[in-house]
Amino acid sequence: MSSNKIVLTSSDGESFEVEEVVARKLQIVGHMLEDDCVINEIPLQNVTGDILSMVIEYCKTHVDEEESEEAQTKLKTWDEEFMKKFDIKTLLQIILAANYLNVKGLLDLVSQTIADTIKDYTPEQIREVFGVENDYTEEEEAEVRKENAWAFDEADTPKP
Amino acid sequence: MARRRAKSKTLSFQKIQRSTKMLPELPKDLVEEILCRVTATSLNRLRTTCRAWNRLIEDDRRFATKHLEKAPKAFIPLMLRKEYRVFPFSVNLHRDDPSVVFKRGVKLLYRLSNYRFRIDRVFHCDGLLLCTSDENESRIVVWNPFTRETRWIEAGLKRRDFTFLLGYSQVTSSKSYKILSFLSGRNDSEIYDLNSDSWRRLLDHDHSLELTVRYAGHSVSLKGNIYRFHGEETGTKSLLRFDFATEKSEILPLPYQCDSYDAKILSVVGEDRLSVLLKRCRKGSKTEIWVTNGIDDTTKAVSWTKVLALNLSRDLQITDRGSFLLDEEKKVAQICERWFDNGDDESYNSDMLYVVGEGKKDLITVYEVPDIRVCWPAILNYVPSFAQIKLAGGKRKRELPHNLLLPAGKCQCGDYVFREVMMKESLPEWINWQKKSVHVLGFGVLNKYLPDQSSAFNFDPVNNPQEILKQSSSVLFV
Repeated sequence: MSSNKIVLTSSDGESFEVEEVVARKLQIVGHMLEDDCVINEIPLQNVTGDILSMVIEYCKTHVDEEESEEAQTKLKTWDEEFMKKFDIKTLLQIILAANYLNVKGLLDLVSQTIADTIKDYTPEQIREVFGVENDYTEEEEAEVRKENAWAFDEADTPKP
Repeated sequence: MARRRAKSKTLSFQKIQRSTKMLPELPKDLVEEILCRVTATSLNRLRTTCRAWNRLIEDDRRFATKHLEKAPKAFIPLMLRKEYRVFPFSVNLHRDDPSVVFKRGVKLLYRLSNYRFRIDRVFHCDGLLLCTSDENESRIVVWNPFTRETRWIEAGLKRRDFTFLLGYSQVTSSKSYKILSFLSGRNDSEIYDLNSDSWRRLLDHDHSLELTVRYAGHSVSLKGNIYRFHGEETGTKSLLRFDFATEKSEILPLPYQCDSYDAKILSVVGEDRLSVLLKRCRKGSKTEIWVTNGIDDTTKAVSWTKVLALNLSRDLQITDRGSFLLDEEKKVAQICERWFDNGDDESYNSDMLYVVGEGKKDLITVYEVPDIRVCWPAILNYVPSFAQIKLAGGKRKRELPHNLLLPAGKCQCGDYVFREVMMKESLPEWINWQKKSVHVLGFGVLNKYLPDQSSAFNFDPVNNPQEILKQSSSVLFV
């Protein structure tokens, strides 16, 4: 295995020296390495240092993905603990970074974590977090809510 | 309608500014990536977030398929009861008095009326319920109780004896839901495609379908394929899998070979595993429940694990017509079956739910069944989904108001035994059409028990309405 080191630089100028195998987990880097012969330093424009460090931490842990059930369970537990550290805003920054750097496993993980986090949010909270504007009128919103009342909530119970 | 809430608009505008400062807006594909992982019931609430989200959740087939694939599933056990309706249920295993607790049921209504469709059979796939009725009804219906969409499908004369099963074929992220219809023992299978809205005969007829035993018990749908027991002259020895992509069926082995079984029932565990309940015809043999670990698609080898071996008395009368759900974690199965009283006194038949595990057994009488002809009870694990059954491209068929709720009873267009088209000039005097707001379009005979065919040919309902009124209790002119 190559022990070649690569330096990744964030948009705010922070540099991280990592093993090539770790850097290759970022597919964006993987493609650059394939296209070119020797690169030692890669600037990553769309990600800040604090977020990049999280992504690198994930990639380091996932560098050898063993197939054994035991290893998988261990990784899964690590993933869960890792995700617990972040609030929703950070999670959204991580998903953007995972998408830009093209780290498939992290993208899946953080998408599911955000999904689990927002599932109990009110539409108002959702709009705030996602920066979405409410383009319904009050009447329309009530209408959509009514339409969506689930069939199982309304009919009667069987007679004994 | 155009009046927007000025106040909240400014409020949310400020919020957008604040949040965009910290974070560029998420691209649409990332929003989808997140939303497709939110459970269906929670996602349904989020439809009020904004119009774009509502469209995505409600109308986007590709998203619906992705959501079915990625979102965590919340299974809801449903029971088809003697009321010809499905009810979500849970089991209360109180030590002295175990019981079934029903939640509110769901009515499946005809469009444009309050008349309820009497479900006598229900088949589940992807949160869609394929329902048939035992009434004089030429249609079957695919129903998504979660989105409350229904798709009525004309099945004509097939309706009576054919079996209808729902599955799908999938190319990348595009699913086509299809219905397989066949009559056991007959070379007569057809496929209905919900996308193209048409029936089509299976050209290369699959002979193995013919061999399928008549009372094969409940079939199940798993990952779009149909599974049912496969019968041979020498007995049931295997499973049959029908694949909607190839439109072929293939034979898969059961956990063990046996000439005949006292009971054999199929069920689905979670999203992707099959389970069978088997009891061989031999005194003292146990009822076993097996689950698949995997099915090798090339060799057709199936790896089975025995999950439960139960000592169940024959008195429980568990047969092929029963249904069951397996809780793998608790090592408990719920078996639903109709129980017949064989005593000499007044007969006492009832629908039962047996909650059984190794070393435990709770027998719950769900209700008594005074008339054994009422629909057979069944339980299934339903999963709410956004699966789409609308006709693609907005081409929606114009439908006749199928069922009109009338004081005299119910009218079903298409149920006529004969019909006559007439000009308004030729209408008899007694139909005073000019004074009616609704013009005379025809008539229907509400009472399906018409006088026999020969006499039906003789009478003239338009000019001699008394004749038909006399013979048939309810006639409707519209």
